[in-house]
Amino acid sequence: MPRLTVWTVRASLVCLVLGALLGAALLAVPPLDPPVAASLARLAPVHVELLLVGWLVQLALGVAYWILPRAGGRRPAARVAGSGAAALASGVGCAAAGALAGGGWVVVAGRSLEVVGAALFGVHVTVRLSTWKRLDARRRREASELAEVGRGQEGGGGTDA
Amino acid sequence: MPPVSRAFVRTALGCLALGLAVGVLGALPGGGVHLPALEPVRVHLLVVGWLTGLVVGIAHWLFPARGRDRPLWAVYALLYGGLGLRIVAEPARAAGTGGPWAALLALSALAQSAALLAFAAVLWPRARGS
Repeated sequence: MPRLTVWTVRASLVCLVLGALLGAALLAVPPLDPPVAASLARLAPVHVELLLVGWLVQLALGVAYWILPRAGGRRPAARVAGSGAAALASGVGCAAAGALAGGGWVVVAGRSLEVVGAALFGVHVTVRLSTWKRLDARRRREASELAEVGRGQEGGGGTDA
Repeated sequence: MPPVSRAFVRTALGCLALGLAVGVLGALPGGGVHLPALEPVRVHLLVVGWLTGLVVGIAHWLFPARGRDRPLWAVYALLYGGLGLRIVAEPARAAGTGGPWAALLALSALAQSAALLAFAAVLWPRARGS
């Protein structure tokens, strides 16, 4: 498992734990203590941010980095993916902190970082898949040429015999 | 694929169908079916029951160094038990029928968060460099 995947998966697990605890508080406390409900309600966007982007999106991108086909045993544009993961993780942190503080430009900055992170990851995946496709086509062409040469030699040997 | 992962995937598909069906009920002509708290139930069926359940099941299957399945069965029971409790208790409490619904909602919250904490504890050491 590449190091980027390890860090992305662990960051997504941290978001899962924080988001789940926040969700549990949002679900359990208001019915038992209605006056607290109003002050807790402003935490709902933080819960959504942590679980939708921090947990699900981060985990999906980290696992995709690990399991998508490699080109010649390498992951091309790995630095782009690393920058994307860093932007996404800081975007989640920024957006969650901004939502906790009541919204505003911090949330806009956080969500913009998330967009940048996803876009960089998209660039990585595009480069990686097109490199893989090119190398795979070359490998198939070489294999079929080798097979043709082999068939030719077999045919030639048969005539000689 | 281990049995616990198959159970997660099948239950997740059930939640997907149920969540989509609840969405249909809410969108019927004439304002749809008026059950209180139907929307949070629908969202959590899709996000917890479908997406999170599917991710947990597949991650247990995919990640290296898979140990025993027993902790994942506990996660399964707590996650889907808690979600089931929520599906019943949240509309009932919102309808103001009285009874122990608030306490059951707290129990549901406890069960689901315990499930996700346990899953994070199981998966954390398995996310490591090769």
